[in-house]
Amino acid sequence: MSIWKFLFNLDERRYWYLRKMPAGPLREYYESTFPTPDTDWRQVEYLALDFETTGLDKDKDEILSIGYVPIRGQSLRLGEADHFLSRPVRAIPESSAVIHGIMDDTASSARPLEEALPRLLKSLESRVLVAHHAAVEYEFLSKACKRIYGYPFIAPVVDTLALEVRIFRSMDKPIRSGDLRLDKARVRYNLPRYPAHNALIDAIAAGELFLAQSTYRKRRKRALRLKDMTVIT
Amino acid sequence: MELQTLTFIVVGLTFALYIGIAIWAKAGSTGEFYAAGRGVHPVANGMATAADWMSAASFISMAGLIAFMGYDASLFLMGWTGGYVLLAMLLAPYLRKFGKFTVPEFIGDRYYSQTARMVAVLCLIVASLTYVIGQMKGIGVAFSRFLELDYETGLFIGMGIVFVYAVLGGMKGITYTQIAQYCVLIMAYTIPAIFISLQLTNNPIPQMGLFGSLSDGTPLLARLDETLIDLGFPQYTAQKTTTLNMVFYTFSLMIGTAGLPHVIIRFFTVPKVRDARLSAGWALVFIGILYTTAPAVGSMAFYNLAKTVQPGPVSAVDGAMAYEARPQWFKNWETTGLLKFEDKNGDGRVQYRKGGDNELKVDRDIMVLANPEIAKLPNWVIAVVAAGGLAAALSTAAGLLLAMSTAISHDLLKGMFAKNISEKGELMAARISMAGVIAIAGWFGLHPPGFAAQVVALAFGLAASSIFPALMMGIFNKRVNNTGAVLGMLAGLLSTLIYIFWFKGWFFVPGTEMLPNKPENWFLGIQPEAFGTIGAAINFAVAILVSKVTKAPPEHIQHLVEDIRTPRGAGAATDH
Amino acid sequence: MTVTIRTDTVDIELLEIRDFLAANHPFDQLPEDALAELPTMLQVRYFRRDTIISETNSLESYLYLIRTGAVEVFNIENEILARLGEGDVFGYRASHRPNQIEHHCTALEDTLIYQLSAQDVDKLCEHHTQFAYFFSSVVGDRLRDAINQATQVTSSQVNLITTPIRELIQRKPVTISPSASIYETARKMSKERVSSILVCAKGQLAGIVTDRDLRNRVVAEALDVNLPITEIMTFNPSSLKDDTFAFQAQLHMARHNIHHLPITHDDGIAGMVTATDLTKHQTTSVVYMVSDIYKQNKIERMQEVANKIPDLLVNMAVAEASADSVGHLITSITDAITSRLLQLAEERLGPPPVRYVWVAAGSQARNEQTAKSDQDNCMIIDDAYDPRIHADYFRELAKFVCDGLNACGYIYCPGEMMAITDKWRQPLTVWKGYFEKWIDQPEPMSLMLTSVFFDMRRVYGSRNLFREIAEYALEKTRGNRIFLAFMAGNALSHQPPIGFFRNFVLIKGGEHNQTFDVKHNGIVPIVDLARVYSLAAGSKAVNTLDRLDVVAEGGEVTSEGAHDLKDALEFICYLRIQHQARLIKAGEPADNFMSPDHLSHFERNHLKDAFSVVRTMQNTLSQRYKM
Repeated sequence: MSIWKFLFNLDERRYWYLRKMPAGPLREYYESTFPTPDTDWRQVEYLALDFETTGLDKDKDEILSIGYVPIRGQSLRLGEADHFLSRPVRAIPESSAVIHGIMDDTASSARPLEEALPRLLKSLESRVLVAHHAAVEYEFLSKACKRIYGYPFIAPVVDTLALEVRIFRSMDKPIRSGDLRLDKARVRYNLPRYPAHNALIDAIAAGELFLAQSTYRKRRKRALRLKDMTVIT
Repeated sequence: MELQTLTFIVVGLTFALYIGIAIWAKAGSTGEFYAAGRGVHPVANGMATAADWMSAASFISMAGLIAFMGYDASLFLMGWTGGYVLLAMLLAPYLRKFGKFTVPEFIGDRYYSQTARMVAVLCLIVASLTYVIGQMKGIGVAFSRFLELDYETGLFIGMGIVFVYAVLGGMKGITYTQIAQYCVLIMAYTIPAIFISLQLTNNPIPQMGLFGSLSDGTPLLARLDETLIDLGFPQYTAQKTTTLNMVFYTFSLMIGTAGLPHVIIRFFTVPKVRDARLSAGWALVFIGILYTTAPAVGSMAFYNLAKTVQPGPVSAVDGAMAYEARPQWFKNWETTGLLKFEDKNGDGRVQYRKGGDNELKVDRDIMVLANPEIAKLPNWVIAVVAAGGLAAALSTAAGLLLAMSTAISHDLLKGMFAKNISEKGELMAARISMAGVIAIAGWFGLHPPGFAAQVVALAFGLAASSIFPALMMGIFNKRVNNTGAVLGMLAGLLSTLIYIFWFKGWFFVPGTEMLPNKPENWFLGIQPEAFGTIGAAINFAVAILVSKVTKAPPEHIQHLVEDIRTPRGAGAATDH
Repeated sequence: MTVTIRTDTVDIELLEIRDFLAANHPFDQLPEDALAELPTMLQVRYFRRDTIISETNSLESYLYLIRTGAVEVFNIENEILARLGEGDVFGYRASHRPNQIEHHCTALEDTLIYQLSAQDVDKLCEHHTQFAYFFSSVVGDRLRDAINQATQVTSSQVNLITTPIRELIQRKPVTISPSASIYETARKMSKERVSSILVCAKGQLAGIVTDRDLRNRVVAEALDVNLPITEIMTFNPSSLKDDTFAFQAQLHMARHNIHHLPITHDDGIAGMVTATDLTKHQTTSVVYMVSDIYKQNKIERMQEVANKIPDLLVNMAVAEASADSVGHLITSITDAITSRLLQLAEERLGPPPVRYVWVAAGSQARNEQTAKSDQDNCMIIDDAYDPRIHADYFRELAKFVCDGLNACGYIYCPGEMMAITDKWRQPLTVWKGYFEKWIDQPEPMSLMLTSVFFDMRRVYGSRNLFREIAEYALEKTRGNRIFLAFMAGNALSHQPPIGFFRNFVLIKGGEHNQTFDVKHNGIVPIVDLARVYSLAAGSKAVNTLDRLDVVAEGGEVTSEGAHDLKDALEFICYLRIQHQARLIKAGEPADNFMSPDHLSHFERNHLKDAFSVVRTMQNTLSQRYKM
């Protein structure tokens, strides 16, 4: 897997999938090109995304709600934000319900993920995915696409958590436990305190954090490019 | 241990002590509102006053003056001590009653005249400046010696330290720091004196040792006279100038010192009048310890110096010390540039003589610091002396600089030229003027001694002839009005100025002297430095005469003067 | 593709942002449905500290709302126009002052901003007039005005507090000459449709006649209406100056049970205010409290009234009343309780055998009390006082009042600076002796006492006695630089809690860990400075703001410096009131220990500015007096 990624860059892999992909929302998604890694990061559009899930195991747990907000021209476009629930197949475990507050009866009135996913993929077209600890969103999304469309999901990704680690390292600051949590990271940038565990609020939170982090990475001789920001390109 | 390391350690320790006390005192002052603290004990306050009073001039220069001038230098002892007594007994109590903090304030209010006030401010600034010059010189000498640098570099380092010390300002005014400084200073002064006195005369008390006998039975002073005459100098214990001149010179110093601002304040920081008097008395005792030791230190240091460079009889060829065989302290002081040997006759020996064939130039300010080295005392004694010199210089310099910078920024600038200056601007002006004063003092420190000595004469002359009479009449003669006072001050001032310029050149420009500066040309044999006393007399006369023929001062001023002199409220304040 | 937000979800999900908008002017003026929709129109941007904000978007194309952080706005000359904090707006149409065109702005701190496009602002203005009003009028957001803004009385409940009485005057005064007859007077009153008329001789107020006088003194007595009006008028009615606050006028009327109050200004009569004029404006609970106090005959009942003070403080804090007016209001309650207690005591013990005056000291004297504080007071008795005969009477009197005050929550002064202490209940001569001793021998204890007793104000009793002692003290201190130097030294003993690097210096450990004492390190230094200035200037003013006004005129301190100090005091006191109100609301006792964590970034910055001002002024003072 890693050699595969090493040998082929993201766009090449996109072509690879496109070659054999049947028509459908995922194919439409893959038909739009990814932003190239060498573009100025400010020219790129992003989508800050957050899922609430029934747990953290991508093989067992399911997506409960999806929230996202696009970032264009260094500003969060709240008017284009979206948030919706998706109906899980299994019952929501109590351990997760206490976190995100989504109950079985709320969730049961939502549409299944199959109907929700196209909307999300449409919003992701030509954009870079932004999330805090993006591996969760990325893997759940990939898993869902595999299950529904038979192919995995790939995209350029900015992980605000990974950016935060880089910033800590560049300043030679030791990282203590909890320092990298979304709310703790936001405090450092003087961002307001939001209630956590609502997909849209968390997505906005991650988006704002990204804006903040990017201003702190600006001071360089050459303009920053997309590849300076992303963890998956 | 290496001397330099030891010096660093001792100086460092004393500084740590001052700072520690400052922090401790500061922490203690922000106590509970209702737990009102008690005042400072008069003895403690007396020590603090003594530390304020005794400057590097007292610590370093006075013994040096005595060493080289002999008996005549006693006028400095008397003048400065007398100045203190005058200040403590005659001025401070009345100023306090008048509710005034500084001499210019008193003069301005008593003579209801802004002009009178400004004249006083200017005179005091000049007088204080000369005092600061003395401190700078002392600091420069001390630093250059114990950092083993040349004098200029030592002076620059000293200027920097004084500036930081004075700007931080925190340690000034904290009585306990002053007390610590006094203790360091007096120990540093007396310990080597005791050692040397023991060495030479077997008497541990230097004041008695001075009049004691050497191990061979000859009295110390007799031997000193003998040695000096051998070397071609005038007799040590003889009076070399007229008595009248000495009296006038002493008087000039006394009344010239009396208005110095930094010590007056000390009398007002004690809440109770009784305590203020007591602490003034104690301060005199503490000052006395040093002032009475100074003659012993001076004479013994000079005796030791002469014995070192001239171990044998003057007539003998090998009587003088061979330059090659010079001791370590000689080499150390040579690096500072304050001790210079010039082999005029090329015999490789140090001939220390009076007159043209002298081969050794000794800066007299090194005597106190070099004394323990010359006497081969242990290194720690030398280190303690260095710390003492710094304590003396810093405590006085900081106090004077603060007082001067306020006089410039508040009295002159805000009072006269920039009335609308903001509080921030005033603070800034104070800092700048402080830096300016240090720079000027430093410049004079670099260009001693001729010019500085003249300015000192001028300063004390001016203060003596202008301020002192105005103060005295302000307190004791209610009839003197503002016209009289201003004219009196101007008359005193001008006559003194002209007399000084007459013999020292107009504005000290060499070659413009009207008469050579020699005793036979002097009026009544009074040297220019001593003319302040005459100027003061002129001031008194003019002021009283002019006031007689002009309008009496306003009613309320006359009442005020009467009020000041009559004791009031002594028993009225009822205690509950 | 544009994704529209389903309104059902937005209501819940963007609630956070909606709530923030709803809490801030002018968005609070929008109706619920517009507010719910507003978040979707926003863009969120982030600016790092010291970066330029209007770089890519000019200030004309967006309205900006600061979510967190702080922003400085400049005009084209690069002069700073405003320093804005959380919840402030700038940009499109936000500032319409001439010469104050916002040109560019920079982030003072890391700042998160919501921006609303010009079109959307216009659209909102079209539909919502109240919202539009904000943009049409001059509503500056300069943060020098932060205080003004904060103290603007937003609730009509307390607007009597900040309104000077002159603004309530409805019309020019209706006056008549003393030579007029009763008949002529009544005619004029009915012609002018007034319920009262002022009788004036040579522009000076001589008396007042009201409807009630005509009824009670003329009709009921069947008096000849051709008699001169002077027969029935009330001579020399009590009047107030036109700069008195309206609430004080109301207090005055409540206290003296009058309904018509002539108002004067420097050159004569300004007009008349009636009880109705005042009640047209919302009456404040304070006035009720005070008139309540004057009706009570039992301490227990006064206690009940006094117990409402914390609630009152909370109310005023919510209404963001200025600290100055809060101080005046709360103190007026203390005054009322004190006066009423003295009235009751005199009723019980009989009239005083010799003259006396009850004097408030400390914060009560300065009109600067907040939540209930200790009592500081004293009693000055006429020199005719004979301890053998009169001692018992005055001891009982003082005991009654001090005990009463204690019962009402003004606990005994820990320093025993109360009239109940024998030492502070003395004849005039003894008091003069005290002042003389304090001034001549300014020991630490004396200085502490002077800092309490130099702030003195008569509450009840002989005015002449009070004037004598106050003038004596002033005369002794005027020009006494040595005493002033001691006072200055004392004024420097409390320093603002700000370190060399503009960091807060906090208390470490103990009960108040990580806080600072806003009273002793924030307010007391300013009060002390003002006292020294004021004594040096020989001014009679006692209230700190008044003192600063007076000394600025006298030149003891520059007007700029005095202004800065006033702003600093107002801001620090304002924060303290908010802090105490927060504690009271949480059911905790009010204290003075504030944690910087509870302040917004803007408040912290502004507080540091305030502390720096105090430090500069202290340094200047210390330099002048060489202490």
